Amino acid sequence: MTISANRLFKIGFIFALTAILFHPKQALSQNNFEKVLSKKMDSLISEKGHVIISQTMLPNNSVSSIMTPSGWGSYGTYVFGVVGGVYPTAYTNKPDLISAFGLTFGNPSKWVNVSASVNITRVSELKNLSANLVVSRAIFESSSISVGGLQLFANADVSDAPEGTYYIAFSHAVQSVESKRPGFAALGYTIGFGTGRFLRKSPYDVAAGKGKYGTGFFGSISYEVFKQVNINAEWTGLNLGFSTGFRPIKNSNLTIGLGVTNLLTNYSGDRVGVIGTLGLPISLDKKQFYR
Amino acid sequence: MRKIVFITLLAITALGLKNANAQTGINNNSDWKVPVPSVNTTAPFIRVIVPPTPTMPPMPGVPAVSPIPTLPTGGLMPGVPGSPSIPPGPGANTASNQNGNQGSNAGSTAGSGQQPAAPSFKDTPILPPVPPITPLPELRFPTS
Repeated sequence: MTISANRLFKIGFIFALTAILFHPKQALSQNNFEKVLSKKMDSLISEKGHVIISQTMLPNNSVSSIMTPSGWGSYGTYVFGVVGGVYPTAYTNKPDLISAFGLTFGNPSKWVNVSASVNITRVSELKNLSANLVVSRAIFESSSISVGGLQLFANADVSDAPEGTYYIAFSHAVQSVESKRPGFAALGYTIGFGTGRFLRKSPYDVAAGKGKYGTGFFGSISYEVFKQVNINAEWTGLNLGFSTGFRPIKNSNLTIGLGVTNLLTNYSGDRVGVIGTLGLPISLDKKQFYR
Repeated sequence: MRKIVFITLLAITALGLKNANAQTGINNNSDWKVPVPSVNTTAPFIRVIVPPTPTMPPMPGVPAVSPIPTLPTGGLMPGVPGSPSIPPGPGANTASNQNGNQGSNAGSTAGSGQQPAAPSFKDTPILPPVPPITPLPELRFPTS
């Protein structure tokens, strides 16, 4: 029995075609999808910091206000330190500093976030201590609210403003304006009401006939002009200010804020002051996924 | 460069400490004229945005599913109409009446003879009338 070369070629071609069609590695195309997915998840896990899985964008991580608080809390547990100052202070030619260190913890999406810190308002003498306590909670979509007290329990023998400040603030991250850093909003704003530093004018203002009280209402709007660099406008309840904020070191949470305040000297104060902050939060959490 | 910026700012801060005190001791609220002692810890994270599932666009020819249940209450099947009453069978009285009336009906039944009594199917179940099936417009074929 002889088989022609043509017939042998056809049989070989059919076997080869069958083997190609049913080859397992090529047939299971789902494997490629799973590999890509696995790589994506591995890359997320290998990133530094926490991962938030969300359907909305939070504000970016640069400074959005200096003289007014925000409605946003933090996701996770941090110790933080901050030094802020103004030069010159109203009705003096001196600078004035404040420093604070504290702890913040809690997930504001599920429960609340609590921030507790201690101020040293006379930095040069390491005295004039006071306390800050702020509770924040994420509400609605891409919004947050905070209620707190600033510079509480100050010693009346040392502090020139011992009564403390209580406030409530609402912040929102505009979802239609995306940051240059994926997953964040470039535009955000805060509105709120407070007593103390947001309401009471200086006795010098009263003496100058500028009234005893400010608006009590404060607010700020922040927009990211460059990656992680914001420009901010804020109404402190007593005056108007502009500021900018940025993070100078990549992969570091060190934040710097610079600006000017007391621009409307007819309303309060007697001169424009330069303001600045230097803050560093340090995470105490292991890597976590927040929802 | 970053270290230089950081050290410069640190030096400025340290040098400013000595005179950084605007206290006058006359309760002028200068403690409030400084930045809010807080730091932004909002978002030092990697964020993964999971977009919400988009709604499926309506397909042509398929009616939109209403979120309101359209099934009739009380069951999945439509209500079965009540069975019609069974007509009375030809009893004895009926038969005698029919015999008595034959004379009067003879004129009308002339030529047809006596009509047989209607058969009685008492045990036969009587099915309700089948409701007409509404034709679906999308299943209509174009008439040639």
